[in-house]
Amino acid sequence: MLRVWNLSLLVSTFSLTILGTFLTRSGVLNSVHAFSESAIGPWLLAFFAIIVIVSIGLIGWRGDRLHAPGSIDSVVSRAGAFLINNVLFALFAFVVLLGTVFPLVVEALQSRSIVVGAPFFDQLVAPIGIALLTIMAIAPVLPWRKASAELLSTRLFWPAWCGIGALGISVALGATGFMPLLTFALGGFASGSALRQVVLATRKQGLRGLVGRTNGGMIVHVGVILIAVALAASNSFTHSQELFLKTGTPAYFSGHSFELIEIVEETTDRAISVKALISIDGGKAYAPAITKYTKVGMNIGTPSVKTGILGDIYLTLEPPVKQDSGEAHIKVFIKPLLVWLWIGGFLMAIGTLLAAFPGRRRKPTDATSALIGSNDVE
Amino acid sequence: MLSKKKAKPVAPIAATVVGVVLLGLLWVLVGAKPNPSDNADSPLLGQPAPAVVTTTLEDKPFDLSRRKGSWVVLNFFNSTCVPCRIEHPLLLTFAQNQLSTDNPAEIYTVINDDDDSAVLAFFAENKGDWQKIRDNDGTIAVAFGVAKVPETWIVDPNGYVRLRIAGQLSEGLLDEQMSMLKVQFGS
Amino acid sequence: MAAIASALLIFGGLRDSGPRSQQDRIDAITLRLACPTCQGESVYVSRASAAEAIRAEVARQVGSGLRTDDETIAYIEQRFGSQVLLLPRSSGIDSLVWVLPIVALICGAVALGVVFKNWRTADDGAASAEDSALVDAAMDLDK
Repeated sequence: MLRVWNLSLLVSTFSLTILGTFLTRSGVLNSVHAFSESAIGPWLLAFFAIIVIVSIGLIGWRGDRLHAPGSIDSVVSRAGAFLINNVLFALFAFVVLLGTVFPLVVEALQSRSIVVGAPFFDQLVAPIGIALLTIMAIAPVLPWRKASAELLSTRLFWPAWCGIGALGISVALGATGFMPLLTFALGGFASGSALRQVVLATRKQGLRGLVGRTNGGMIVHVGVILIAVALAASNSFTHSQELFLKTGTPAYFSGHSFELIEIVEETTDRAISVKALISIDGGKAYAPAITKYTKVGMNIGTPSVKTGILGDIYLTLEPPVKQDSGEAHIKVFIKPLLVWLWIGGFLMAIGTLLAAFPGRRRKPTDATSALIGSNDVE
Repeated sequence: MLSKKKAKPVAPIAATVVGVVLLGLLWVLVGAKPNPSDNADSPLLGQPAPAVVTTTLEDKPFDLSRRKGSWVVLNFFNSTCVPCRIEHPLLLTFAQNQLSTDNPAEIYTVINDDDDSAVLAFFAENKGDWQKIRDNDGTIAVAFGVAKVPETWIVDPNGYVRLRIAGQLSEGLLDEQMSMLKVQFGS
Repeated sequence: MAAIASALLIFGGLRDSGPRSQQDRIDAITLRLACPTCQGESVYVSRASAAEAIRAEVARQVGSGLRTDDETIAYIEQRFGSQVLLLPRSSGIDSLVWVLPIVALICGAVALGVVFKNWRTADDGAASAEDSALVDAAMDLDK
């Protein structure tokens, strides 16, 4: 079943990769007219056009011959959830493609430049992310065929309480705003579902319960949830402040102290760099800098970041810097939970490795409909 | 053999729709024509010029409203910007030509995010004896909507903005535009 | 359980995070403006000189208290053009970028609905007339 859909997804993936190469290599993103100046742009565009025309042509002409019997019985099944997940990701890809290509189209049609910036993607991806988190929460407990409401409510009981717990903790810690709170609640719910599967599998099989497609997949889920939570926290709750520091007098912001130790200047033959050494909370010194590249003449600011489990502290040095005055004008950005983005990614990699190991397999002498030890627990 | 039910022709329809959209996109991208005009648009054209009150590099005060009665050319400049350096000889020629007209335009360089010393060094080496004015926190640039240099603006003797050229000047462009404007708006 | 969740959500969602300081207003405005010399960075984030100048102007306008956030953004947009808006306007051709995802969502949802419905009504298991004739013919042959 769904062969034409699968084939279309494959074809789109490849075509979009080529389109991405074209967009970055041809300089089109700087200006629509840069395209005709680049040597490689027209070739890539032609390649993209050929791939698209041939694949769409073939699918349109012969696609119906691929039709295979078989169907998904019910929406409320793991197969149904996979299909919905497919459509959500396709929608996600469409939004990103639209946001990237739209300024080019407007510039080509109306000769004025517009910007589709990060807030566009944030605003549109947030609802898609929420839908994906919801499906991630329910799908692991769904059987492959049909599920009944009773089955769902039994299996989802503890995960749902995890979700409410996460919501309660976030509210208690002072988080506000509907979208981030919903993200935290669903994140708790989905991790409850994922961990339920892993816990049940390890109870039955010991360490072997961590391995295999299903369980490795659950660890990947947890990684994705951490990424979603980190994104929600750092996008919604970043706060910043400008501080005027004098050597010897610490300034305070958001529970941290910042003290200017000294301002140093480093000269190489390519650049002159002015750094402000700032000690955060009386500890190690961080050095945001402004570098002037002598040949080009541009001033480039270099920030300095202190990474922590609860959040990152990001320091930038603001011009003008008066070297011997013992004063520095800095800006402090506090970005909560940002490091969890990386931890989530790391977990996804680990989960993938775990999933690559074979889990408990069906014995060849069992009936095909027999339950496999690890997959459909309870 | 079981009878086969006739499946609806989904694939051709979907393929046609997607194909049409993509071909449209390709056509738009390839057929995009670059904007040929040198003169850029601005909501300030035909309006009174924004207030410009600052100091020159010789530390004398400068006020744009007190220059009424003359045509004023403002050139936004940065000594490290390559197109600015390339167009500099054209400004010198323009200044020279203006001296032989009966209402010579006054040229002022607005320094955009640069050190005084770098600007002085540039003009010492490349000549250009008109006044250079400071724009320390970028107020003048923001008031005129200047993000990238070079840009050249022309203000008429009554203080109204008449022309904006965004980007590097081409040969003879400034002289040509200035003569046209003088004819159009009287001396 | 649903009641507890909704109560917490509503409480948290509507809770006031404190009064907005001037710096908060400046941050909110600069987050909606794009730095004109950068590639899609907001004025809040960018350290380029054009961004510094725009930040200084926004700080001046917020400090004077004469304009609302939207009016300040309109002022800057007037000077620099549409390239300085980080989010496209919701009118004219720009609004397409907001409308098309919604259209795509509706198409996707409708397609899913149609597909699931077709699957449910597809095979009711009854034999077609052709199949019955085939079976009858086979049974006759057997006799």
